[in-house]
Amino acid sequence: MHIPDGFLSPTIAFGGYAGTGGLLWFCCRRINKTHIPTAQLPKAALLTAAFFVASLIHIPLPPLSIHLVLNGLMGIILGYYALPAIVVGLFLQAVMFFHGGLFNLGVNALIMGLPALFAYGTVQLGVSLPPTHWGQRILTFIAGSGALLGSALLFVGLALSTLTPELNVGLEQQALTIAGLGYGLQAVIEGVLTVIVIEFLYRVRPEILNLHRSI
Amino acid sequence: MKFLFWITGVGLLWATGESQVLAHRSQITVNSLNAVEITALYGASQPMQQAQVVVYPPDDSETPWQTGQTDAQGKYRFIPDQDGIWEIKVRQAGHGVITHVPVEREPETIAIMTEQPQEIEHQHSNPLRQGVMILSVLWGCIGTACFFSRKSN
Repeated sequence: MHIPDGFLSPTIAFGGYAGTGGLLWFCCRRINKTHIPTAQLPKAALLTAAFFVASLIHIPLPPLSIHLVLNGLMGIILGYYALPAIVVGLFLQAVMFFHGGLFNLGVNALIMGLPALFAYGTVQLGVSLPPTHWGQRILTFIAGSGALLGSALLFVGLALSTLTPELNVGLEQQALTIAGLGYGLQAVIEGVLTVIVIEFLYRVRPEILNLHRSI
Repeated sequence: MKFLFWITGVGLLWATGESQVLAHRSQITVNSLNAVEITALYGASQPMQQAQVVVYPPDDSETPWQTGQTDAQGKYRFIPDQDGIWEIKVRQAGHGVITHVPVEREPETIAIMTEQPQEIEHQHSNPLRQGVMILSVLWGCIGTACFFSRKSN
């Protein structure tokens, strides 16, 4: 779900950087308002590594191949730290594996980061409930799968709006339709995975989760 | 006279039979040309089947020289008509890659250039990539150590 370099016009790419910059500024301001802003940095670093590695695990779904994104999980665990973590993860993916690209880093960060913040906001709706409560489980599932679907919608929308004349629009739309089915399945997988991971962390190391207070 | 008719009949049969054989004959003309073959993959091994391919010539990166689709193995071949750096765009469902293939045609040889191995080789030898990878591993080790060694309040 990374838009590679060369597929977007400079206007959209710079717009992506501007949007990501603004959102980063907002997130950093919210982080600075916490009691100890640096306390969550090791956790953010660990989740960045998980995000970085997850994109390398490809699940074959012929004719496509999907890979885990886990931006919903990052949003739930990291809150406003999720966006800086995603930006760093995307930067490393672009530099080390040419996954995405530096030119489109801002756009890709928005595609992954905005739904991560949505996931954080979603679980905050049930902040008084423990993760083992069914209401919170449903919210967690919606957050995990919804973040992936949100990213997929942004990605597909951008892909459709940036088709160049030399490409066959019908073929690309057909491929995007098949990809959409794949993203739907991936959303279910990520939703379930998010619920399992959050419950596991709640039972093993609950202090990792910030479900009981918003930053 | 009977002999003449017999000879004529056999000749006609032979001619008819030969014409039928000619009608079913297949022919292949083999020309050795300099060709470029690319292989488009998802990840390391899954081929990008039926992905759209756009080929741009060295002197014009705006006007497509050839368009097509990859086969079931994610392969696409074209025969460049001039030397230089050719640009190839492969796209499927928003994913894809743009790559550049240096072409130097040599007569009497079939030069199949696969861009992917060249690119991978190039990526592995990229010092920036190696530096970032080393720093990332160090950063990850230090971060993990700090995280697990911190005092919980």
